[in-house]
Amino acid sequence: MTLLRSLLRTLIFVGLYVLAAYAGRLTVMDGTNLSLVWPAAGVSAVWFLAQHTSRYRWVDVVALSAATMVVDTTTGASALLAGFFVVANLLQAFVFGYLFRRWLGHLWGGGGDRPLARLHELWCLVAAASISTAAGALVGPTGVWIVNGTYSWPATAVWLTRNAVSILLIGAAGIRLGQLLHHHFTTTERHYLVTGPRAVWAAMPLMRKGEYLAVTVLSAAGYYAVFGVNHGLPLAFTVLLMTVWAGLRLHTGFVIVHDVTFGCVAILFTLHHSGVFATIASHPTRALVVQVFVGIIAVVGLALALGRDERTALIDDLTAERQAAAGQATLMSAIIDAMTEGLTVVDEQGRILLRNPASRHLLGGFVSTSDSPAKPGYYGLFHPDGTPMAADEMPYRRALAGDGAHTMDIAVRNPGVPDGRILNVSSTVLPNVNGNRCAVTVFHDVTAERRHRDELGAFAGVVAHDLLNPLAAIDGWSRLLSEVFDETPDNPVAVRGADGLLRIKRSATRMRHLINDLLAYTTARDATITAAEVDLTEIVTDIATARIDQAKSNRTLVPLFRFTDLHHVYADPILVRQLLNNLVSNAIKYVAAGTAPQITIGTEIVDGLVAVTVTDNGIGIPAGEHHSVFDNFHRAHRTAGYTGTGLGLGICKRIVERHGGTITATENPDGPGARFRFTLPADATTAAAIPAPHNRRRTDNTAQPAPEQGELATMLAAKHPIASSPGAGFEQTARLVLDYLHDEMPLAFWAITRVENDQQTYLYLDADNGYGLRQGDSHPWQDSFCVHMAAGRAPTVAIDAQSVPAYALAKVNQNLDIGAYAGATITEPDGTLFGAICGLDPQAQSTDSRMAGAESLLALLGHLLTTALASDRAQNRAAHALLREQINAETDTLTGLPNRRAWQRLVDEARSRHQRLADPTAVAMLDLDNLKNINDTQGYAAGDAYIAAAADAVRAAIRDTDVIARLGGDEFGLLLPNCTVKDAEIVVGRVYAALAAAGITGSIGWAPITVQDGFTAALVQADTAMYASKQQRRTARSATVRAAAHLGGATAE
Amino acid sequence: MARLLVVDDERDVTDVLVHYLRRAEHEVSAADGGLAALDLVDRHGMPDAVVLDVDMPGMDGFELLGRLRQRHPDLPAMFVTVLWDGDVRARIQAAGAAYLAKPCSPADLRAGVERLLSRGGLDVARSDP
Repeated sequence: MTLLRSLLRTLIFVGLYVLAAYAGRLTVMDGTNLSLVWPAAGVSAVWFLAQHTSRYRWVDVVALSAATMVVDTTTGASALLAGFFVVANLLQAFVFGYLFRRWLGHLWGGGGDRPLARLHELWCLVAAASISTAAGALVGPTGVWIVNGTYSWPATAVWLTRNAVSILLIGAAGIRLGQLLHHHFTTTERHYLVTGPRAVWAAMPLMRKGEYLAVTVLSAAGYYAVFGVNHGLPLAFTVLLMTVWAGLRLHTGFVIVHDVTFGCVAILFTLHHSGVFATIASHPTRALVVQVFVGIIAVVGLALALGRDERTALIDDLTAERQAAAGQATLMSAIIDAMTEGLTVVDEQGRILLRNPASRHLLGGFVSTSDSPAKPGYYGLFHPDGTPMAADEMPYRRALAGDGAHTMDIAVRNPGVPDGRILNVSSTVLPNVNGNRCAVTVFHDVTAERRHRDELGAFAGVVAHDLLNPLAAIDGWSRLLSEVFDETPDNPVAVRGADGLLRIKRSATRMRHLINDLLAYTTARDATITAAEVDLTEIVTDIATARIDQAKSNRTLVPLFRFTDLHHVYADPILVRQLLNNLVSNAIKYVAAGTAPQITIGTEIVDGLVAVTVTDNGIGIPAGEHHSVFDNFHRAHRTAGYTGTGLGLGICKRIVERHGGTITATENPDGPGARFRFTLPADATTAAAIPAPHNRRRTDNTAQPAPEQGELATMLAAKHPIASSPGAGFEQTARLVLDYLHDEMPLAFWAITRVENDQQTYLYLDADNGYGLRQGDSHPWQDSFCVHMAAGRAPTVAIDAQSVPAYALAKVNQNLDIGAYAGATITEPDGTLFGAICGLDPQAQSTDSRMAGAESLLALLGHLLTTALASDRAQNRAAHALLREQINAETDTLTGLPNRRAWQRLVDEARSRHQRLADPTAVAMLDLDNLKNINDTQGYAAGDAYIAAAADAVRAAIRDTDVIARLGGDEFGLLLPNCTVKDAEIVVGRVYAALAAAGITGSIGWAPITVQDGFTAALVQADTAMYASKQQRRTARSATVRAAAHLGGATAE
Repeated sequence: MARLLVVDDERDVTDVLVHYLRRAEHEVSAADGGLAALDLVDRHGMPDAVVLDVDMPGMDGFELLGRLRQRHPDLPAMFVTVLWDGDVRARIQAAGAAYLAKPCSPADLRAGVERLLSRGGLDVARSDP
C-alpha cells in the first residue's frame, strides 16, 4: 500500500473514530466517566483490520491513541483516565485483529477477500469480539477504579456489553463493506458498488421487492411502536419477528443493514428514556439491557441468514454435481450408442455388463440372448485362416485369463453376414469399481483393409515373381554367354557380341532395380501403416554401419556419418528405414569422383513434429529442380553418368506424406551438396515435451511436495520450450534444470558444476548471475561447500549457511558471500562423482517457504541429471565406436596409426564432448629426434623402421582408451581422454620410458584441456611445450658438448 | 562333389542353375515342379541337398520340402527365390532352409551350396514329427 493511500485511509478512520467516540462520550455514566454505548470499539476493530497490511500501520496506532486522548479529555476525562482508555482501546483492537486473522484468515480483513458467509464464521466473530472486549475490560474499568478509588461491577458489565455488541454489529457491517469496496477496486466491472446492488434489485421478482419494502416499513412501524412510545408493555420481543423474517428470507447484506439500523434506533430511543426499556430506572442497567437486546437481534439475524446461505450454497453444489454427473452419463451413453466400433464389457463371472448397438450390427444381428456371451459357433466366429474358434480363444476369455490385452483378427460368418466379415478385436482387463475385474472388448470392421492388403500382396507377388523370374533367366544366360565369349577372346564374333552383351547386362541390372523400387513404391503407397515408436539413432546407426561395411568391401571411399541425439518418431519402422536408406543411398551415390561422402543427419522439433535433415557433400541438385526431384522417374543427373531409376525420392515423398509430413530439398547451406528435410510425427514422450499451456503454475509461495521424476521431466519440458527426448543429452537436461530452479526456487545463483582434477568448475550457469562467475571458472574442490555436501558432512540445503560449521569454515567464503546454500550430487554411471548442482544466495533464506521442500527436489534433480548423464555416456560410447570404425580406414600405411585426417575427427569428437561435459582430457605432441639424420645417413628404409618402432613403443605404453595418431613425418599426436593432470604425467612418463627402451629419443609437450581456454588453446600449448622441451634439450646437449670440449674430452654423441 | 536336385518351374532358370552347379562339379538333376521332383527322387533316390523355388504352380516349395523331409528329415535345402514378403523369409527360416535372392551370381550360388553341404544339415532348430 502506498504511503498516501495508507494515510488517506488512516484519516478516514480517524474521522469515523472521533465521531463514534464523541457520540459515545455523550452517554457518559454519572460518576464513573464511562460511556453507556461505545460505537468507537467497532470502528477501531474494523480500522485495525483494514490497515493491518499497511507498512505504515504504526501511524494508525499513534492516530488512535491521539484521537482517544483528545476526545476523552475534551469530554471530561482526566489525562490519566484517558491514558487508561487509550491502552484499553489499543489492546482491544490488537487482540481482535490477532484472533480475527487467526480464525478468519480467509475473510476480508483477515488477509483473504471473502465476505462473512458461514455460520461458524459468525461464532468466531462473536468469540473474537467477546475475548478482545474482555482484554480491554481488564484495563478500562481498572483505570476508572484507580482514578476514582471505587471499582464498579455494573460499570464493567456495561463495558463488556457495549464493546462486544459494538464490535459485533459494526464489525459485521465493516467486513461486509470492506469486502464490497475491495471487490469494487479490484474487479474490472466499473462502479461495482452501484451497479452490483442495482443489478440485483433489477433482476428481483416483484413479490420479493414487496417483501423488502414490507420488512422495512413494518420494522420502522414496529420499532416506533415499541421504542418510540411509552406504553408500559414489555413488547420488545415483537420486533424480533422482523429480524427473523429478514434473516430467513432476505439478502444477508440487507440483514446486516437492518440489524445495524434498528439496533441504533433501539439504543437511541432507550437512551432518551423512551420505549419498553425506559421503565428501567438505572442508566447502566437500561444501557446494558438494550445493548444485550441489540446483540441478540444481530446474532439471531446473522445466524439465520448465514445458515440459510450455507444451506443454499450446499444444495446448489449438490445439484450442479448431480447435473454434471447425469450429463456425463448421458454423453457417455450417447457416445457408446453412436460408436461404429462394437463395445462389450464382460465381468469375471461371465456376465455381460454392457453391449452397444454396433456390436449387434457387426456380428450380423447374432447376439447372446442370455446375460452371458454365447459360444463362438453361435456367432459363427473363425480364425482368419478359416479354422473355427474355440470358446477359450475368445478375446475376452483370454484377457480375463490374465495375460493382459489381446488384439486379434476374427472372421465372422453367419446368416446375418453370409459373405463374411473380418473384425479386429482387442480386449483389455479393467478393474471394476467393486474390485471385480472385467474385460472391455472393442472391435471394428477391417474387412476392406484386409482385402486391400491381400490384393496388394497379390499384386506385389505377381510383380516380384513374374518379372524377376524371367529377369533371373536373362541375367544367368547373359553371364553364361559372356563366359563363352571370354573363352575365345580372339574370335571376331565374340568381340562384336561382347558389347551387345554388356548392354543386355546393364539393362537387366537397371530393370532389377526398377522392379525392386516399384515394389517398394507400391508398398510405400498402399501398405497399411503400422506406427510405433521409432528410435532414429538406432536406424541411422544401422544404416551407417552397413554402408561403411559396403564401402570397405567394395574398396570405395568410406562415407563419414555425423549424427547425435536424434529424436524418436512415431511412424512405421519399416517405411522409416526405407526412407532414410534411400536418402543415404542418394547421398553416397551422387558425389563427385574422389570425394569421400559426408552425411550429416539431425533432428529438431517444429510445431509438434520431428523435422529430420539429411545433408550431404555431393554434387547437389541442379538449380530449378529442387521441387521436381520428387516426381516419379525424374532423373536429375541422367546425362552425367549417374544411374538411378528415378523412383527413390518418389518413394521418400510417398512415405513422408503417408505419415502426414512434408519433404523438401534445398542446397546444403554450409557447402556443396544437397539437404533433404522431412517431418514425421513425434512419439509420445517427444510430444509431451512440446510447449503447451500448462496449469501447474503456483498461485502462492507455499512449498509443494517434490514431484515424481517423470512428472518433473514433463513439468520442466512443459515450462521450457525445448524438446526433451529420451536421448536429449546431459547439456539440454542441465539447462532445463537450471531454468526450472531459477523460476521455482528463491536462491539467486544456480549452476551445474563439474569436479575434476581436484577443481570444481562451473559448467553451466547464467551469464548474469549475481556473483560475476563465468563458465569455466573454478576453485579448489576442497574449498567448496559442495565437497561437504557430497561427503554427507553437511545438509544438502542450508537456509542459513553460515550457521553450519562445515560451511562456515569453507575457504570459498573468502571469495563468495554465501548466506544460503543448496546442492545435490551428480554421479557417473559407475557411481563416481561427476559434479554437483549448486545453488547460492548472498542472503540467508530463513523465511522463504519454498526452501522447505528443497531437499527432496534437489535430490530428485540430481538423480535426473545422473540419469541423463548415463544416457549421454551410452550414446557417446556408441558414437565413439562408430567413429573408431570409420577411422579404421584412415590409417597411415607405415605405422598403422590414424592419420592426420582421422586425428582431426577424433579431436573434433573429443572437443564436442569436452564442451558439454568437461571430462578431464589431455593432449600431447611427440616429435622424434634424429629422423633426418637417419634418413640422410642410413637411408629412408632405416628412417621408416625408426618411425614404425617409435609408433609401436608408444602404442604399447599408452592406455587402451588413449589414441596416438601420426600427424606427418616424425610428428605424432596423443589424445588422452578421461585423463587428469596426474594421469597425464604418468602416461607421458611411460611414453618417454618406452621410447628410451627402444633406443629412440624425442620431445613431448602436453597440456590439459580446460573449460575456460578450450581445445585449441591446449593443442597450441602442447605444441609450444614440445618445442620448448626440444630447445631445452638441444641447449643442454650443446652445453655438454661445449663443456666436454673445454675439458679436452671427446665430443660425445 | 554332391548329388543335387534343382527344382524351378521356369525352365530357363533351372537350366542356368544346373549349368553352374555342374560346372562346380556337382551331380545335378532338375525338375520343373514338385511332382516331377518327387518322381525323380522315387526313381533315383534322395539327393544330398535340394535347391528350389518358392512359388511354383501345383505344389509350392514349402510343401515339396515338407514331403522330401518326410523321407529324409535332415535334407539340406536352399531356396533361390524372389523375396518380396517378410512372411516368406520367416517361413524359410522356420523351415531351417538357406536362402538366396534371385537373380543371383554364379559365385553366390556355388558358395551357398558349399555352405549348405559343409554344414551337413541345418542351422536352425526344426521340429520334426
